[in-house]
Amino acid sequence: MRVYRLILFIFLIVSAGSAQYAVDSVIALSDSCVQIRWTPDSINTDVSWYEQYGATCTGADTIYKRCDFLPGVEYRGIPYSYGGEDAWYTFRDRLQQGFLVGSHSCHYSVYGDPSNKVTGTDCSGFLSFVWGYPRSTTSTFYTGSAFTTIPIVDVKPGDALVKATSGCGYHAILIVEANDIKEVVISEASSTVFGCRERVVDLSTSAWQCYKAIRYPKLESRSRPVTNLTKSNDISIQKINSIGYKVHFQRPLSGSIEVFTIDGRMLYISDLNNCDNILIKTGYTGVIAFRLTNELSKNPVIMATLR
Amino acid sequence: MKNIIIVVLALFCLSGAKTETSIAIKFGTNFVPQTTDQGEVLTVTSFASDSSSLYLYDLSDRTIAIFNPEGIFLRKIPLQTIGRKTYVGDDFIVLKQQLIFLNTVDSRLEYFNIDNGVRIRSIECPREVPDVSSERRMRIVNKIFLDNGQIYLGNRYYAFLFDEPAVLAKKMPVIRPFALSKDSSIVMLYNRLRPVIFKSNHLKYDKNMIEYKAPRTQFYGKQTALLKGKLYFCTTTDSSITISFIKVME
Repeated sequence: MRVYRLILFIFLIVSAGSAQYAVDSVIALSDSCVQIRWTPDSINTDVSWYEQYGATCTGADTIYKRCDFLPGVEYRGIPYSYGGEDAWYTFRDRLQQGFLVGSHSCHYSVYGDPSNKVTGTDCSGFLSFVWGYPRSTTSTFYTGSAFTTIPIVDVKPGDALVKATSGCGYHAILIVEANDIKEVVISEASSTVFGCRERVVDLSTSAWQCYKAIRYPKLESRSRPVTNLTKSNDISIQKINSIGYKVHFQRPLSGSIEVFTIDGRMLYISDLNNCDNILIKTGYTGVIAFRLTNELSKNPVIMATLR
Repeated sequence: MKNIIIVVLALFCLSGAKTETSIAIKFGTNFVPQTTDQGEVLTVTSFASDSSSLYLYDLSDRTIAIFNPEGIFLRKIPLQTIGRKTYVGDDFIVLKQQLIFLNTVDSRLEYFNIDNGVRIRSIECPREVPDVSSERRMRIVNKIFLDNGQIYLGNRYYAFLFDEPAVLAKKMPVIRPFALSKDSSIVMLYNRLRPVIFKSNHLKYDKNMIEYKAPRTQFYGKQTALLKGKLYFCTTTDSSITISFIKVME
């Protein structure tokens, strides 16, 4: 039988209280994009690729015909790549597969990358991912009827700021925390820093006049009851205590299971040999991600529950 | 009559000591703002000093601009790349002939030679001030301070000593955060007994103050500096960079 090597990532955030389920999940996904640690090698930063393909990319000019990163240097945050939409786990896998990291105006064939070998995300790809919304452009977020326009002073965690006019430029930003309009925590895939980042900004200044604040109403409606048991078609995860989990498999499974922090540090790894459950102690109380490698599942599953 | 003249002269001297001097550097020659496709205007983003000069980080071309104590531009030094095109501009200090940048994206301190911009080393640093607040804005490390020759990291609410020797020796440093002033914002701790604080739209150093003018572009780091008995404040307008300063008692 042909062996499929497929990866399941499951975010597990356990807490009490259900109303913030969706928003907490959005913030956790944002954290994973911002905090992931990674180190490219010479293949991921291959200069010859940029020399060969950079000129053919949509909108590419001379400064974009090269890699934005150095081999052997540790970075944080998914790299910026115009047209990109990679989740943090997709980025991690593609990095290991030898994809090129971030190339600004070169990503995927629709944007002129003939090799389809660039990994990263742009600002609207980032917002689409953390909102769990179908991949959309900044203009769609700016004009789309699925979103509610709100006064910028009323933003809450999980809302977004967007701008999409030729005079102001095009950008989409996630609101992470908004207890004081003068000190709002935002996250974004930024072309200024060539990657995902988080920062504190003052939304009362003129620099933010171009932005429109929007809310995705379906976020909160996707709240679900408190549970400490998270299920997918293949596995379920039961929280035992603050650092312990029991993972149940629908059927005996062979492969391996790994547990990571959201910045990519491995907490736990174990081989599975025809297992139907496994007890995992991580010694870690923050947000974690499970990665399951097996021979049976084909479709990646992402689940997020409560902190 | 003689006494009156003396009093008038004394008042003149005192008022002169607190006269604000402003120097505007028009955009276009040494400082040319760049606008990204996301609409962010890149120009100067952080200000610092050592015992002899003022330093402005220019994010548009990733250089350090050096000024003399009179606010006169002298020259620019390009910083060596760390990837991410070149260098991402955040807060920085000047210590022992090194420019030490807080790279908040990668949570690292980046050390550069002040004479030629060559990157010396890079050290990982904490992303957040630990155990201080449930609010993220109060935990995120986005400021680097200098006090008595030692590096402190934090934000406008908290700071902690960054134990560089321990980090270099690969030992886990002990982090003991302390709260900064509650009734006003500390904008700078920089090798002085007193901090520069922000209150009632003024920057204050002891009893001296200079009016705060909001920049037209994003400053990621400090806007103030202290050098040779003067308090400096840097901001941007639509057409220029402005450096203002007053004499202060140190």
